[in-house]
Formats: sequence, C-alpha cells, structure tokens
Amino acid sequence: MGQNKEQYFKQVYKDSKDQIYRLCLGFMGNKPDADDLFQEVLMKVWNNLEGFRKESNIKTWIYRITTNTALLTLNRKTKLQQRETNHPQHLPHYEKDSDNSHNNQLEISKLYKAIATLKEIDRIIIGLLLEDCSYEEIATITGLTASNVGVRINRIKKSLNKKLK
Amino acid sequence: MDPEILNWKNLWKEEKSGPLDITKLIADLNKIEKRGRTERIALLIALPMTLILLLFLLPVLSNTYYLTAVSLIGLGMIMILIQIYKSRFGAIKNEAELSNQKYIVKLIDKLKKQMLITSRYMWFYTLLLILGINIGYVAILEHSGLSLFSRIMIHSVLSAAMFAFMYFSILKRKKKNNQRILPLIAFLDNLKRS
Repeated sequence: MGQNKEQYFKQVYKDSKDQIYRLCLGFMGNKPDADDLFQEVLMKVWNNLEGFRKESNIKTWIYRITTNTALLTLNRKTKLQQRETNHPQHLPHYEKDSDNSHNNQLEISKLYKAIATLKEIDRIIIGLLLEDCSYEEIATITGLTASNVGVRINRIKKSLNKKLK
Repeated sequence: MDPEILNWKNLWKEEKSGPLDITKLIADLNKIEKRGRTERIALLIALPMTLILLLFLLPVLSNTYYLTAVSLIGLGMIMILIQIYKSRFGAIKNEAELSNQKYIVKLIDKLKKQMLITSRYMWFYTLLLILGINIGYVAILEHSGLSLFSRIMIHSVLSAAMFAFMYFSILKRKKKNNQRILPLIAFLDNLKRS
C-alpha cells in the first residue's frame, strides 16, 4: 500500500500542483504564505489519500481540501495583515525579461493581489471559476447553492473590475 | 464566455508552482504519519493498561486508603484521556461527499470539546487528584505519630498547594485556548452564516 500511495500521490501532485498553488496564491496574496498553505494542502492530501474513493472526482476532492485548509488559515491571515502594515508592497516578485513580459507580470500580480483583498469565500469562488470549475462544481466544493454562486460571481466581477481599474 | 473572465483566466493560469522536492516531501510525510500512528497506538494502549493496572493493584493494595487513592486518580486520568480522544481531529474520509457546512459544524463541535476539557474536565480531575492524594496521605500519616492538628495541617497545605498548581495550570491553558480556539470558532461561525 505504501508504495502505491507514494505513486498515486506523485501522480496527483503532478496533475494538480499548479491548480492548487494558484488557489493558494489567490487566497493568500503573497508567495511565502501561499507556499506554506500549498505544503499544508499537500500534507492533507497525503493524509487523506487512502480515504479517497476512486469513483469520486479527484479534482473536486482536492479543491475541497484546498478550500477547507485555506479557510482555516486564520493565523496566516493575521501574519498577512502584519506584513501588509510593515511592508505595503507584498506583490509576488517576477523576473524582468522584457517590457512586454514585465507588463504581463505586473498584470498577473495585480490580479492576484486584487483577488486576495476579496472576502475569504469569494477568493475561493473566483479561484475555482478561473480554474474552469462549473457553478455546480463550485457549489459542491463550497457548500453554497449554484444560484448563490452565480450571484456571488456577479458581485465578485464588479468588485474585481473596480479594484483592477 | 465573458471576455473579462477569459482575460483573467489567461492571466491567472500564467502562474505556476515553484519547484518542490517531492521525494523529500514524501519522506517527511511518511515520518509524520508514522509518528501520528505511534501516538494513536500509545493512546489506545494507555487506556486499557491503566484499567488492567488498577485491576492488578486491587489485591496488592490491601489497604483501602491506597486503593481508593489510586482508583480516584486513575479514574481522573481515564476521564481526561477519553475527552482528548473525543476532541481530536479525525481524518477527512469522505471529503468529496461531505458538505462544507457540515465540515464546519463538526469542526466547531470538536473545538468546543477541546475548550470543555480545560473549563470543565480539568476541574473534575483536580478534585479527584486532591481527594485521591489526601486519602493516600491518611494512610501514610496514620502511623507517623503526629498529632491530629499536624496531620490536618499537612493535608491542608498539600491540598492548597495542589489546588494552586492546578489553578494556575488551568488558567494558563484557558488563556492559550482563548487566544487560539475562540477566534477560530468565531471565524467558523461567521463562515457558517455566510
């Protein structure tokens, strides 16, 4: 079982690492905290992998674990607020290749930063939407109704537009 | 699809996770898992062992005082162990089926149980501990030749010292809980309502 679990975990990691990381970064708004959360999610995935029923959707299962772990990171949230007070600039850092890519990177960081200022549950919802989850899937993961998800997405869109202007 | 969302989606997906030594991570996770398993086994052994030990002590401790003392302290220990076991966070087995709301309610319940160990069960344990130790000391002091007043004084000082020690321990633990668990419960309650 141990060897199988390791193989399965490696596969899950390979398939989902970027999605999980993006959700973590969108939730935390900065790379050091996102890295911490990312590792915590991986630990939970590992701990619960044996209990996962293969007939269920692994993507939904992992997103749910990510969501629950992110929502429980109160301590990190406090850490984030402290950092914000001490260093207002906590944008993810990007290497400067050219003007174009630099602009693109600025846009990416602006988007992630704007998402991180939304309400906790809204950060999760928009993150899942940007990861191609349907309203139904988002509803399953967050425990909200699909119609509520729709209403919230409209509100998030307006709010993000305002923040990104 | 909404062009705005599409644009955000493209930007969002540009971000990738950094390199991670997955082999090292798995090795660390295996270590943590092994430690957790050992702790669970130790807890499972500790409970019946305490009971068996008490049963074995029954014929050995012919003195009723000693027997009562050991039984009371053992009872207190078992009570705390049961509460710790009940309030631990279990593995999320059917995470995909479990609704987020149910998960949050369950988590709040576990956290409240953790707080109850300090605010209620630790006081029961203190009472049983003081009672048990005092009953044990009745037997020790019986043949010491000390006057009744001296014996009462020893019992009183001993009880007061134990009470003070437990009082400050509980107070410290309560303070810790208030800082760690209460904000978490409030946060989860807020999530439950949202």
